[in-house]
Amino acid sequence: MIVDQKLCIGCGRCRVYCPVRAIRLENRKAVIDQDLCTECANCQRANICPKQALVKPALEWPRQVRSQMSDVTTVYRGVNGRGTEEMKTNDVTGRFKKGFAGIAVELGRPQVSTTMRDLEKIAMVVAAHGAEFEECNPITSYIVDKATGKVNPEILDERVISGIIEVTVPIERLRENVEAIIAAADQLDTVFSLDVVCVNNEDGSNDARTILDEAGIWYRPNAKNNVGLGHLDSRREKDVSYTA
Amino acid sequence: MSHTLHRRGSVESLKKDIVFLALPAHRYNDQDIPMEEVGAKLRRFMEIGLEQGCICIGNASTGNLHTLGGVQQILDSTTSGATVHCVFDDQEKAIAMMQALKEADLGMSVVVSGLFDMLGECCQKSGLHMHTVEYSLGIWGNTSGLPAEPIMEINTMCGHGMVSVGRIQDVADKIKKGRMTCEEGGKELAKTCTCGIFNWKRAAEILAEIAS
Repeated sequence: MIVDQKLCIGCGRCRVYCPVRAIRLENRKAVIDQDLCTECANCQRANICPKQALVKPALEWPRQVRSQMSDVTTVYRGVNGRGTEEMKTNDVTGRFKKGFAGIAVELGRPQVSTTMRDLEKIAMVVAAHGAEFEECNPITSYIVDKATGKVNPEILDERVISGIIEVTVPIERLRENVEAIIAAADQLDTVFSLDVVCVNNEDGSNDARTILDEAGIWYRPNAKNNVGLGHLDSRREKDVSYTA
Repeated sequence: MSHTLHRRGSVESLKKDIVFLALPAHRYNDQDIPMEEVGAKLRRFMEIGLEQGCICIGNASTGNLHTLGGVQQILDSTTSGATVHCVFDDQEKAIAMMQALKEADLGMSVVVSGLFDMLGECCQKSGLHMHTVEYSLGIWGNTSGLPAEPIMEINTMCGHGMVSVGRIQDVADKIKKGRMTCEEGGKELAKTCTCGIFNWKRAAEILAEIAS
C-alpha cells in the first residue's frame, strides 16, 4: 500500500486501522513503512480516508506474496484467506483419517506479522519429523523441497500478516512433532498458534487428545468441532426444503 | 486453519461466544450439485441462524453487515460457494440451532467453535456428534510484541486479524472519553472483520472492562 502524497491531508485517521502499525505521520502526511506493510489493504477497505489517498499499486514478484497471504479477499483454491478447508469439511472429504493427526502452525498476527523466513524455520522442523505438507495450502506452494521444508529463497524476506503451515502426521508421531515445534519457538522473531486436528472415534474419544493428555501438553478449553452434517446430495435419502 | 479457534478470554466470557460456520467441500459438494443450489443451502443456513436468534451473520466471500449494508444484502449476496457464519451468545440458542440444522439436513459441512465441554453438551442435547475436533495448544514464540490480554481477546475474534490493535485502543479511548458507548464500540470494531464473524456483543463487554 502507498499513500498518494498529493491527495493526503494528514488527518491520520488511517493509522489505527493498520494491523501491523506500518502507517505513521511524517511532515503532516501519512507514510507507509514498506518493509512492515503486508499489503493486506485493511486501511483501504476501512474506507475512512476522506481523500481516497490510500492506493494499492500493482505488485510485482516477490512482493505479490504479501498480498496473497495477507489480503482476506484473496481466494486460494476455494477458500478466502490463508488457510484451507482443513477439518471444516472433513466429514465430506475424509482428509484427516483415523490413525493420522493434522497439525497447523499459524505464524504471525496479532500486530507482529511474520516473515517467510520464520515460516521456513517451522516448515523445516516438521519436515525433519516426517510430516506431510497439505497440498492445498498456499504456504506449501512456496516450499521448494518438501523433504526439507526449504522455502523459495526469493521470498524469505517477504512479510505477511500470517501464514499457516498445515501438515498431516501418523498419530504415533504427533507428540514428537508437537514437542519439536514448541522447542523451536525461541528461534522465532514472531509468535505462532498451534493446533492439532483429529477425527473422533465412534465412542467419542479422540486419539490426539489422549496423546496430548498423556504427554501433559496443555490445550485451550475452546475448540473447533465439525459436527458431521456434511454429505453429498446423492447420498441423501429424503428431500429437504431450502430457498431456491 | 485457526479461524475462530484461538478466541481468548475467561470461561464465563467464552460461554457467550459460539460460532457456527458452514461451507461446501470444494470439489465435492460443488461438483455434486449446481453452485446456485450450494448458494441456496448456505443462505438457508444463515436464515436458520437468524430464526434461532444469532447476533450476526456474514459471508467470507462477499462481506459483512457493514460492507453489504444489511442482513438481507448478506443473504442476497450468497449465490454460490462460500464460508458463511452465524454467531451466537447463548448456549440454549446454540442447541436450538443445532437441532434446526439437523432437521434441515442441508448437506453442507458445519463447524461449531466454542468451549469444548459446553459444545459437547449442546451436541448431546441436539442429537449431533462431533466428527472431527481441532484443539488449540495456545500461542508460542516471541510474545513480547503482543498487546495486553483484553485487547487480544477482542483482536482474536477476527480470525484474519483485521480488527487492528490500534483501532481497538482508539475505540476504547473514545469510550473512556464518553464519545461512544460500548455497544457502539463493539459494532464499530466489527466493521473491518470482513467475514462478519466478529462477536460485537462480547467485544462491547470487554470494552466496558477496558474502559473501567
